[in-house]
Amino acid sequence: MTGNASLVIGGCGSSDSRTGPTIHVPLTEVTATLTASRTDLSEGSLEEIEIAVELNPPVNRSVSIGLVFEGNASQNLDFEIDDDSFTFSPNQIRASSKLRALDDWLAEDAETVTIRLSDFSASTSAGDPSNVSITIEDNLDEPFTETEKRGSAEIFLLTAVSFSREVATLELRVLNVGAKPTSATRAWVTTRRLIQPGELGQVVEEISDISIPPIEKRSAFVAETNLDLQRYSSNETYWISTTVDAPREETSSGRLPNIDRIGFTMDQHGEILVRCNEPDRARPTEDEDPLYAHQWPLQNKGQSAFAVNGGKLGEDLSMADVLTAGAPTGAGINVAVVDTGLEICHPDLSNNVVEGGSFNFKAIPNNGKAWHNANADDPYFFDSRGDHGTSVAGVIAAVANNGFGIRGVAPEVRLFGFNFLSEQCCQEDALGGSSEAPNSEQIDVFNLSFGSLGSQYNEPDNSIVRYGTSHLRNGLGAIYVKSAGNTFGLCIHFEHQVHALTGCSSSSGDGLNDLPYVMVVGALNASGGRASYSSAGSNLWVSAPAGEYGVSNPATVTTDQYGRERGYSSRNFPGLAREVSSDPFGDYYSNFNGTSAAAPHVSGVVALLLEEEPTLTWRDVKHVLASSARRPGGLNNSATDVRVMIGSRLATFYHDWITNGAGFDFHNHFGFGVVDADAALALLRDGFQPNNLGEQSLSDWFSVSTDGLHIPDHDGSGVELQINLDLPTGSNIEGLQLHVSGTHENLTDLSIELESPSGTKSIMNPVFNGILVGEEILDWRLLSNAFYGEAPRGPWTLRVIDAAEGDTGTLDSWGLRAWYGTHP
Amino acid sequence: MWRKLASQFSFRTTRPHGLSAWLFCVLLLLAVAPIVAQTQKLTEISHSEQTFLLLSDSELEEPYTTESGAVLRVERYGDLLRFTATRGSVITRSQWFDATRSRPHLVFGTGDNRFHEVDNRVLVKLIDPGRLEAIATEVNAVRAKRYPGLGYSVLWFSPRHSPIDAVKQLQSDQRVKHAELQLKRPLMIPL
Repeated sequence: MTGNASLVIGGCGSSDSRTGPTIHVPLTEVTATLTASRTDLSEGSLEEIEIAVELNPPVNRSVSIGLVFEGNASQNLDFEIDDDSFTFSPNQIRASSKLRALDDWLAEDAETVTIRLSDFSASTSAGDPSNVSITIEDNLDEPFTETEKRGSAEIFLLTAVSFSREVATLELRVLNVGAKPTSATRAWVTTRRLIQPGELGQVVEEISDISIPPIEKRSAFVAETNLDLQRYSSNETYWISTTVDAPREETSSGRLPNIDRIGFTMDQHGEILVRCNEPDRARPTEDEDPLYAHQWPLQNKGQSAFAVNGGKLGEDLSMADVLTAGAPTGAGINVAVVDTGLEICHPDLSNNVVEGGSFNFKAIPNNGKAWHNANADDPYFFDSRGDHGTSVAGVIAAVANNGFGIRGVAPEVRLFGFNFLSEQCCQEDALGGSSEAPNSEQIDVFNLSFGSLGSQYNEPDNSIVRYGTSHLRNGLGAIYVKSAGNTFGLCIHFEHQVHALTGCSSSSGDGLNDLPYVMVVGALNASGGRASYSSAGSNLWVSAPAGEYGVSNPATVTTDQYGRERGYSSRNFPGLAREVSSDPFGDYYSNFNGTSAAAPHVSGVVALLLEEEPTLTWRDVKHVLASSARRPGGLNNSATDVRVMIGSRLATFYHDWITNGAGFDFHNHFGFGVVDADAALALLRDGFQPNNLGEQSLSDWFSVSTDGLHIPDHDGSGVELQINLDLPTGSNIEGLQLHVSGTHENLTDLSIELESPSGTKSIMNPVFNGILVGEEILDWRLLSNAFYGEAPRGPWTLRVIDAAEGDTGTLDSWGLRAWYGTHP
Repeated sequence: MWRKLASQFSFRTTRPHGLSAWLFCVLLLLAVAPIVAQTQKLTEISHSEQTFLLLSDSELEEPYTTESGAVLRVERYGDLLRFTATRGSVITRSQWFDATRSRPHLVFGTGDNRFHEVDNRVLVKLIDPGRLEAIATEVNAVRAKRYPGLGYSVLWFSPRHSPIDAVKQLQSDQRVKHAELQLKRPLMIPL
């Protein structure tokens, strides 16, 4: 096939006769066709359509072709495409580009874009097909409006108990974290005897006259009432139910009931049981731990762990080498479970419990609410409906090869229990500032499987963990391992599609999480994905297995309060609690989850590392875990960045995995990835030099006053500001804290992103963050670990974007400070 | 969410809006529109740039307007007591208590516009830490403990004894280098 165009050979285009005659060779005519991998997309779906152009026949020259877009869907408003023109190399016959639907957050009809080939280079023409039409379905039933954002009241009900010999005092705390006053009018308390797991008897005592006022947004009401313990029989277990008459829509997005339950057991003296009495359990004849086969976090073989579905091979702590070698075991490492309690006489824990090392904060008359008969050395949890601390402890420290139940990640650690959460007091004692009663200064690893919504940076906590990292372990520093939070799905009175990736409420709702002295842990499920509840945020360090709920998909199998009438198993959830043959005494639980279950897996691995190399500093431990972590292998972990058209500009609200300027992978869902125990130990054995990260320095704040700088409403351009960090060259970031202050009529509208001099971008506050609902004053310190190892020196860029219409605000000041060392 | 725990509190009694007395008077004289004069004083607890106003039933007999424009009130509804902060006609914060029982002391953060409960603990730094027990007895603390590594001690008070009064007493004690109130932290829950 020939055409009118021609290829000119010779003369370099010159007509100079001295270069010889110019020969016109007819060009081969080529046709181009256009196809699409599919013809429909939904806004915000993250799916992509491949737009492909093919040439026929192949030609030995470059060919260029453009695309034009027609229809009522607009480029860069309703969709984006990687390339809108193609240049084919000689003999290249196919080129493609990816098209994605953008979320314009408008309620509208489906829109269409028709893509046509255009701008052909010479001797190229359209073949058949040469156009495709793609329909972009809207994903909103209604526009995203202020009404939706304002939502309703949102009640949390929490009950605390203190007791004397004769009377139990219940403190009912009704929290409204929503945006409107509650409509509850009364609370009541009912007690019943537990007949058998999950089955209750007649009402023993009922109190129904507790009045509840209309509690305004972000406010609380506290009521107290008493139970007469003379009514309760010895050696029986009872459940208390506290309830408020709130409508379902006011009870935590309708997901959680407006009811709180507590249990207690009366001892042989007719007093509430508060001391651990070793149960009569004959030592099994077999050494093997019978439930070990169900412990997928240690070795995931796809087992279901008493759930319906199994997990994914290899999505575990990657500790096969440790399990094969039987070492290290955490021997000699002091690990404290700072929690609700610890059953120090549990058959699978008692051998590792350090005698006299634990502490019961409820045995001390701090506030007149001590527990009658509590023993200071015994952090026994009176509540019979499950002791969170006992379950956390099993993950770390259950004895291996004793014929009982499970094995811990580090089955020979020295175990301490501090029931700090039962008292809500005295962080100096619980976190390493005390040399006696308890001696927390002897602790190497603190496991903190707790959190608080609504806390922010506070100097006392900061000074205590800073002291712990600089003074404990003879100056090498204690390691603080903390749960990130379970708020990913906690959409407080409004939900938005972007929450599917950013999470409803971030891990920055807890001030401790934004301190670099604390290692914050996210949760992995057995399929290798982020656990559905696991809070996301830039302050995560690593992730670890924990699982889902243990009904459809596996959770963690661990120790429970012993006995069938006590513990989580007394609730008779589907799972191990109903498999009596697998757990004849009711000492274990297969539904344990939450980032509470993830943190102790990391604490256990840290104990292994410290046994392997006792001279590791706390910074070494963080460095080794970050350096050896792996990306999880779940199917749903990969997504593109989320960019949304806000006003007339695209704004980025979510980043996929990034590799930062120092070569570390990071993701707000996982931190540096899932802990890999074998890889971390291999790194130690492969010449890692402890205490070789240089002296850690903390910079001053580099702050700028912006004094009422207006944040453009509903504008993807937002506010973009820079600060230059004048810090030593050759230094490496170990933690980066951002301080922002300002006011806004609806702080949830704001997205906050920081970009380093190396170009690494970190979303430090996700848009529509539920923890900001109802807040109007921003005064916040946020931590990002995404910049770990990068050079701090140079310009840092802050982007604050207001993503929703109708509310406005200002940025008053911002600043940065960096912890940094000098890494080899 | 925005709780800030002060690491160093000091007390002073302040006029509304933190204005000096003369400026306050001048403004009153210049005012042409009818206004409600604020005659009561609120005790101000300050730390660095953080200021907290100490609230009590009697001190809030009349509404009090803070520098940032929040109006603080205390109202009684039967056996219930409600502290509110309003801006315009909108209640931005409130805190309810059972008036028939003892309740924690409350402060209002002028920086974060939130109510905070005062803890029953007081942090002290003593010239001679060996005097801790004696001083604890004098101020009616129910418990005292030294934290040598952290460089301070803590005193605990029963609900019958105000930690606020204790701090005032301690700050005037020459054996005490430093005394500060603590604010209660948000509830910590197992995850």
